[in-house]
Amino acid sequence: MLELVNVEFMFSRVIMVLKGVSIQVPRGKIITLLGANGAGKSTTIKAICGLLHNEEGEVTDGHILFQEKPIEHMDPTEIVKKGIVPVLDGRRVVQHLTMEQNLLVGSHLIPNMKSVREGMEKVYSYFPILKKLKGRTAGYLSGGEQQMLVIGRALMARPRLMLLDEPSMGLAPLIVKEIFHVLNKLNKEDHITMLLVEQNVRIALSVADYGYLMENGRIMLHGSNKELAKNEDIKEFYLGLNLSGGRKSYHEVKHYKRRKRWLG
Amino acid sequence: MIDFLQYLLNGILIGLLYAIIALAFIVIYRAGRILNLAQGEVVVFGGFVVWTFIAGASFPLWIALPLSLIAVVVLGFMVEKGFFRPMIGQSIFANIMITVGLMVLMRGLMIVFWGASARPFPVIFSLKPIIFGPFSFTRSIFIGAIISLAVFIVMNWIFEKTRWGLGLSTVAENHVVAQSMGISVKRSIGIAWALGFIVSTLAAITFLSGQSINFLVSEIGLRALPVVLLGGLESIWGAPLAGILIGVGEALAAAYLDKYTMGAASEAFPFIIMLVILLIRPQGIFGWKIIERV
Amino acid sequence: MAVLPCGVHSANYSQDKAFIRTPVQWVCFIAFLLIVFAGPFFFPSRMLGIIIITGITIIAVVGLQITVGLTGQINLGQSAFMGMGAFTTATLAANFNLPFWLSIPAGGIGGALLGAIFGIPALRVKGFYLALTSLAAQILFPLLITRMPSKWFGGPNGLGLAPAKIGGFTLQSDQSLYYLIMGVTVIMLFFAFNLTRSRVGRALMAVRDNDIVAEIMGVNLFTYKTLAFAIGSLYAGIAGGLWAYYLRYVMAEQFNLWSSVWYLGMIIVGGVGSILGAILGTVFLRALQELITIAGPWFGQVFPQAGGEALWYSGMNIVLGGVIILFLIFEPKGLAHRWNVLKHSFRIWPYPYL
Repeated sequence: MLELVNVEFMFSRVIMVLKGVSIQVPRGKIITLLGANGAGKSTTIKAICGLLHNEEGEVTDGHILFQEKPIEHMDPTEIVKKGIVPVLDGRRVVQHLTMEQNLLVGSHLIPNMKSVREGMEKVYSYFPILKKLKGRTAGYLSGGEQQMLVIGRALMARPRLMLLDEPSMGLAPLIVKEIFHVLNKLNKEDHITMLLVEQNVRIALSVADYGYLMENGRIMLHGSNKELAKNEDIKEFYLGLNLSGGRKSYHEVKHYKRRKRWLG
Repeated sequence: MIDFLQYLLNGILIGLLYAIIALAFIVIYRAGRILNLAQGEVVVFGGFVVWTFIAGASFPLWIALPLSLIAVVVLGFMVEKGFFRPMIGQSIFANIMITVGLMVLMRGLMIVFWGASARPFPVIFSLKPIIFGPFSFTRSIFIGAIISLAVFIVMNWIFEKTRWGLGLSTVAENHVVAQSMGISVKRSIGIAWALGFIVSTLAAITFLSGQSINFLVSEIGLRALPVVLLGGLESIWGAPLAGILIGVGEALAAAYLDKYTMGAASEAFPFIIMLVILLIRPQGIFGWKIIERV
Repeated sequence: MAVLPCGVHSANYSQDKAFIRTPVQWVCFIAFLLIVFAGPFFFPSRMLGIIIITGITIIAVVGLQITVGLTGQINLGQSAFMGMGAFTTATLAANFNLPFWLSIPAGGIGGALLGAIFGIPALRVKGFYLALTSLAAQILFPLLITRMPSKWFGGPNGLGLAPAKIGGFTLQSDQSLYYLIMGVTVIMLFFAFNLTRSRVGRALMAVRDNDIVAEIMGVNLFTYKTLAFAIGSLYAGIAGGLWAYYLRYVMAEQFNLWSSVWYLGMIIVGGVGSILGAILGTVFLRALQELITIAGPWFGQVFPQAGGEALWYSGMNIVLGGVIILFLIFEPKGLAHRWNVLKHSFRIWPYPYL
């Protein structure tokens, strides 16, 4: 459905952030993009939806294909119209609007008011909590509520492909679980394809079908969720497990330090 | 007592006129985060456009008014595209200064196009005073007040209820979020300016009907600033309330204090109020509280 | 300071801190002083008047640069602060017979006080709101000044004052005033240049770049924001004092919003945040003003409907507004930036880049 072919991405034609990234997001799947801070994950998401044009960022090589058509030079508005809806990191609610107004903003591109109502009911059915908070000012909601609101707002745009940037950031484990439960449901029941950027590797691999590992603007490793979960580097560096799969014990760590294999 | 009530009523009516100019200001601020110091000039420019169609080209009213509204919409989009689009993402100082530049430029252009001498503005609402019991007031101001109220209701509906208006508010708050929802930032800000120009022109029509017009009338824009601030920069309903408060205060100051201060009291009153608000409650009565983080 | 020719190194701190580092700079500096000193002997009198006004404007604009460019506190009321200085000087000279070397600094202090008072809100508000505070100052100033008892500031009629006297010598001619004003300008510029490299100057710049962070680093916001306004309007006040002695007549209308806008325009043209920029911008816009005054009659023939005095006014407006907008859009860093680029390319000449 979405395909990144050898994408290079530069800011101001000086700083190269993505150095030839290729990712495939097949229809109906959840694909996860893992990696440490500064690996270029968020940039990938923003590059796909064209949000970096006003920061002088541009795709300098390669293609971003959506249903076989290049979208790398389109306006964000056009891209959202095609059904690619991002959920940006940091829970960016429109602070001064109420919760329900926030949802309405999300439906900006849907012309038919009746289907907007339906969409809103659907969001409430996924996140029942939101229905109780209808009239509240979004800026004063709690972090978890804001994250649900932001996902709900993206759903209002009737996405075919959702790009989620760290939905677990700064949230309590139980809330993270709930949110990922809903994401999984959205994928299975509503067949929304997802590209999921995460730091929380464990939970990301629990819902994703396939994963890519990024570091320094390159894809270092990719595989199905089972393969990745078994991979020793992932275990060591991202899951905090030792080679035999148990919890890593820092008592035993003395001199030997495992090097990332791809550093050669 | 009757005098007092008459002052009060006049104050309210004048206040509503201030409020409609303030509203133009708020509309532009709410969608573009631009504090348009050239607001008075925009009002007078709109007034001159109307003047050109009615007095200059002598079209009948029902053709001239729609034509002028179309013209100012085009102007609004042009101003946005020419002056404000390059300023997206620039500092607040630059954004303020470009409106200051616009203010000076528009004054100059108005003199070149329409001359510096005052011209009579066509009578759009009859000048016969309305007499109601012991009170009397100018009809145009009365009709102006009613038009302002109507404009307020429409604008409030647009900004609070329609998705279109909510989209504009989103743009005001965060360009990236707006774009991620598929809202075009450029178009929204353009629309905001067009709306601002429409409201300004309506203000000019009600304010200037039967009066005279020249570039100096644009001082009214500065007098509307305290109204905007008192009501809150983002609040549509704050404007009429603040307008009435300031209009009444000004009218009473003019009636009772001006004789002791050589006319300074009524002129200074709005700005003293403005300073007090800035010190006590910068967001005004209904404005959004600014949430700031490091 | 930043750009030095190749091969200039500092061996100790006093070298490093010195303003003038190379023989070429000494030559330029001395030549500059000579030209300034010899000016009255070869400039025609009209030119002299222009230079005097430019000198006064430079002081006010440099002050504005300290408030706006260095500290980031928007100030739309510099002209009012200048007016405060002018009226303080005038009333002290006219009513109390203070000599000019006391009344001009007193004018500076008068301006600084008014500026500091209107700077206090800067602690709570910033950006748009602060712009409105200073705008209120600008609008209220003439209303207040003209309504004071006419003994103080002359009421609506303004206030005249006797020419400055030093010993038995009266500073009445343009030539003598030229030396006074140029002298003060050079001293004020010296302080301004030094301010940017002092502890206070760095604190002010920290406030500009991020006031919350500056506060965390121990910069007292109240002190420094008020100080920024006080220093900026001290300059304005001194400029006002000189103005009072040059025109020997002060009226509230001389210090209107439009002068403030001109001053801001000069900052933008010169480059926000640079003292050199303030000077360049002032000279550039003053020259443009003179040009319009000369070109005015010609303009009148092309656009006859604009007519008369208003035409001059509109020409000024269009040019000022246009220049502000064009610079903001196309050269937001101003002339100072151009100058630095030029200096830089000259330094590495004949190579195109480093």
